[in-house]
Amino acid sequence: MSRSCKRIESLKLFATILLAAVVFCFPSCKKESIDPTYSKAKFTIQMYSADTKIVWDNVGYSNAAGNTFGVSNANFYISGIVMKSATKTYTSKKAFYIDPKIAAKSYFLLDSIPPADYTEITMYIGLDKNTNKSNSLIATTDNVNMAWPDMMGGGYHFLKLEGSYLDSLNVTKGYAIHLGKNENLITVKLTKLMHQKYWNHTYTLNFNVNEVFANPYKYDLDLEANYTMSDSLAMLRIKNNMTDVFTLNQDN
Amino acid sequence: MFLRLIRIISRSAVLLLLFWSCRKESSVPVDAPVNLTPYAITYPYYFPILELPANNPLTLEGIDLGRHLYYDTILSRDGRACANCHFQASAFTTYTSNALAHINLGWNNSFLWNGKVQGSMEDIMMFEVEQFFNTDVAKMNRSVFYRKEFKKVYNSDTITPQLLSYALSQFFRAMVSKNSLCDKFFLHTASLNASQTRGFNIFTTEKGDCFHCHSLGLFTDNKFHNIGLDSIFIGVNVGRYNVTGKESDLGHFKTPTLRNIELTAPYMHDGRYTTLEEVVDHYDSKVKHSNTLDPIMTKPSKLYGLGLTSQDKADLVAFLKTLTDTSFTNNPLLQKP
Ligand code: HEC
Ligand code: HEC
Repeated sequence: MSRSCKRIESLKLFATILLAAVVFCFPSCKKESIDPTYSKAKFTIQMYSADTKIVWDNVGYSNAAGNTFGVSNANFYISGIVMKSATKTYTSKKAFYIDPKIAAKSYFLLDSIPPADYTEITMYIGLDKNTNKSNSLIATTDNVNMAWPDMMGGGYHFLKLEGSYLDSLNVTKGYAIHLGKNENLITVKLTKLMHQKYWNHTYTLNFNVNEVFANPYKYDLDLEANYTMSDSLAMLRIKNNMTDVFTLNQDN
Repeated sequence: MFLRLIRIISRSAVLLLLFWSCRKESSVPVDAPVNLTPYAITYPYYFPILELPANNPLTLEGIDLGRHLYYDTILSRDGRACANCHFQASAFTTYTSNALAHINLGWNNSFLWNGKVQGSMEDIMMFEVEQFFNTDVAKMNRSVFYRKEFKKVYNSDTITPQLLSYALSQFFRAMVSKNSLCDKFFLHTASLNASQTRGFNIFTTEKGDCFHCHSLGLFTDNKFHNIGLDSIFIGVNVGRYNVTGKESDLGHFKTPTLRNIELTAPYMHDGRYTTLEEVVDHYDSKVKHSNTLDPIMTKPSKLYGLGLTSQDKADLVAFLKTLTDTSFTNNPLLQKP
């Protein structure tokens, strides 16, 4: 190699090293905490009828009362999350809007979780009474669409579950299970070992729609209110049924 | 050896750098505008948050350029302007067709009755320019006025369909209606009369149940529903099915805003109703059953009609008329230049 060639080579080398250095020092878009005492968890909600994954709008599932039903929309809030291990308790103050139909809204993310083997998670389906006030949530289109009008007490819908079912004459009818009002806040408690040890863990929360219509109350869409919003007894029954809609699986 | 390793590493780093992008930006190169007057859209707290793209910042000059385009027949090949079918006095609709109003569309992400265009304002404007009007871009580039304006606003020497859609988008984002009597009522600066108040009650309770789709604020949920206008779906009445091919979307249409509804007759996707009384009658007793009828419309009380009295109906119409905003239909910023 000639001298000048060598010089060019070393210049090139210098330039590439410089470039590499710039790239490596370039701030990352997502600022990851590098504190090893905190980890993250992503919970994705998936809709099921018993063991069958729900296909939206397909009127082909059956509940305890024997109704053939389908689901066209599910929108709800998850909030008040607490995870417990033998020694640690993790609490999230966030409220998450969930729409399992839309990938980007089908999950919630928790961060700054102290690493531990958690054995229990509790959460609300809905919003606690301090949050369940008109305009308390940031006015996104989703939150605005979930508003529970002041005329009916204010706050937000905790849950909208809508779809169709076949009545006794096999005619397709709609149902709209809407829950709101503080007395209908649902507390879900799941006992499950959650290895929350590393940076990112992912979990799946299976939402079994059949449990909306059963346990303890067998809810027959053809006999009960297929529209619950103004029906406090129907809302209470759904609320009690829904404490066991979720099952939790750790994916990694 | 070491040298080669470094080179490989650094080359891949260059590649990485090339792919490095935090936000998805449009591919349109828009230089930062200079000496322009930034324009901020203000809106009441009960409106959803307005998301604005970083690469098309609102400026008075940009809005004004969009306004010129909107009212100018140069944009079409057949002497039409957007404003030919979208009149300001009618909240940017026409009396003769089912044209959708241009009200608060900055908050929308589904456009046209069947939602054929999904995405940003820039996307729907691109559709209007390229597909609906098939604008002659060469003709635009021969216009001394527009060349000067585009140079000023977007620092571009050539006018492209993208830039046309960007300028129109600015104008559309400025089409904000937020000053109706109903808004003043929400903000406690005015009150409704007895009939309007009763109508508001019907609207926001399960008695009328309008709020579930015409969410308070924008008076639309930005979603699609079948409200039972038909039970058999043919032609244009198939609605969203035309776009998705999903049977469950038969008869589904975009929920239109009810702001300025008094001014936007005829009503529905095919303009089948000419008065608000007819619309209310539909919801009260003419809902037709089908498999894709919205669940909200099939609750027992709806199946057999809302059971409104003639007073209730008059009250509901009185409330709908509180959504008229003459400061919008007279807004000089939106007038023909
Ligand atoms: C010939 C009459 C006519 C002209 C001219 C016209 N429009 Fe329209 N516009 C309509 C009709 C009718 C609809 C509803 C059509 C549909 O949804 O299928 C509509 C819908 C729209 C929508 C959708 C609104 C919504 O809520 O989804 C936008 C945006 C729009 N027009 C913008 C424009 C622009 C920009 C121009 C000029 C480039 C224009 N229009 C010119 C008749 C017209
Ligand atoms: C299930 C959702 C839903 C409910 C509930 C609902 N609407 Fe609508 N509304 C729509 C949709 C979707 C359209 C457009 C339908 C079409 O053209 O096919 C519409 C159209 C209208 C229109 C005509 C708008 C236009 O620009 O043409 C008026 C007025 C209206 N609704 C008023 C009401 C009133 C009043 C109520 C309560 C009695 C109500 N709506 C309840 C979804 C709904």
